[in-house]
Amino acid sequence: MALGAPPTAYDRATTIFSPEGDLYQVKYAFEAVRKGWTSLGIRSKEAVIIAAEKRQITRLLDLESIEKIYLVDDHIGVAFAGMGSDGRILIDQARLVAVRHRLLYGEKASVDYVARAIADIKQAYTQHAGVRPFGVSLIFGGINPEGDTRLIKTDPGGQFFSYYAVAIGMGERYATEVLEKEYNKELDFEGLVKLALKALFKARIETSEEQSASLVGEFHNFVELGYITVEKPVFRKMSADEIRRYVNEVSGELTK
Amino acid sequence: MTISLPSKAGEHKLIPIPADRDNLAAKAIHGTTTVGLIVGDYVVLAADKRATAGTLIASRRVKKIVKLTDYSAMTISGLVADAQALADIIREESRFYLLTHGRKLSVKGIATLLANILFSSKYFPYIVQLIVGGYDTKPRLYTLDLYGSITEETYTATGSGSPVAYGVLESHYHENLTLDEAVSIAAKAIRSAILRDSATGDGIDVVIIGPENYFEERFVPFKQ
Repeated sequence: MALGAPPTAYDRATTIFSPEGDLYQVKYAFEAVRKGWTSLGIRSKEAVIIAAEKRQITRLLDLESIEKIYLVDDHIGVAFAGMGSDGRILIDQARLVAVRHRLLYGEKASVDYVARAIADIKQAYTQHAGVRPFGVSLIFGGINPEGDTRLIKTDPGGQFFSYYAVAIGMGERYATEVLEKEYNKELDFEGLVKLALKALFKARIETSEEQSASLVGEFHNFVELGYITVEKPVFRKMSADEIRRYVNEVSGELTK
Repeated sequence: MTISLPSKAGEHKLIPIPADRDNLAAKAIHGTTTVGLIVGDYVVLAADKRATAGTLIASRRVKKIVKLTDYSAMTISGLVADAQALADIIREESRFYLLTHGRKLSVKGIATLLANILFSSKYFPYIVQLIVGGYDTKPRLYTLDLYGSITEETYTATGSGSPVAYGVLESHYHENLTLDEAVSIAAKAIRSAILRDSATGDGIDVVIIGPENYFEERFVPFKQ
């Protein structure tokens, strides 16, 4: 980790600022996110896509059982990067927030409301003594009750921002390069899925030893993808067959 | 149910709470007629103005339709204190919701929240029967009872005069009424209740709620 001279007393507690105004434990939590497998989200006027990659770190691992994209409510999905265990706890909280809103007001919660509630929890863990920050970033994607698409990232410091496209994890930089270059707001559903796959593939290649020519044939095994459209505002996980089809369609561009 | 009260020094005695709270509820709800109906883009609420305490007419100028937000109101029958406390809670909650969510609490949200509050006090209830009317994306009308049941309606009535009012609504209400017709039918329903229910009387308040925070209050004097 390239933080210069090792910090001394200031990284012993979350709640103590360094003279430079940093909370070292929170900074380290950001590093934990940077070590995670890449996740990303993209939205246009008509749909939101969330995509995440998985890695076969040993051939004994049952990769199919690993989930990186979860349903929060009918109209909200979430992906994470960083410490999966922290993510799981926060996603459970998000589900509670969504379901409580339904109980209390008889209506769906907005994506913003759920993301904010989770960001509030994360903030609390940067300020209270005796706890450590959550080492995870979350990308919430969904359709608000009013019908507009939303994509919101929360970071370990408790900040949350709305995006058109965003990536987190070890491939953040490389995925973001692709997204910045190729994103436009008018993309249709297919365009969004293909751009998500391209950005994810690029991030994967740049952060692993794998060669694009050999990876492209089996990339679909390592991709998880969730989507929701304005036309049918129910968040769904894309089937393995569909993912394979989309990966095939963009395979020419992936190896370029 | 019992509560513990100190009697002599240091001595606590269990005394029963009167088990007739339901009777109290029945008595309290006696003493009002309110109606609500949806017509076109509007919700019309109407209520009489009499408050009773037993056989005494305690007031002839009660406002039984209370504004909750710029786009919603509720009629109250039952214990006025309970209804006012609920209205205060809803006014604050809807403001808080606007600030935390960045959008208005829908009328369904208001009604559901009220139902939750009522249900959470099921064993020591707010003695009220409410009609919640308002406009969010379209006109909405809900009826709530003191235990927190909630039903969505196109026309409804509450209070001791409600059987009389229902008679008028049943024979005159249909969805293609004009707003003016709807207002006069609502007033007529209250008027009929005034004529036959001794606990209902002293004029008619009408509130009309429509699109874009349209909120009109009218008073229709009662003539024999």
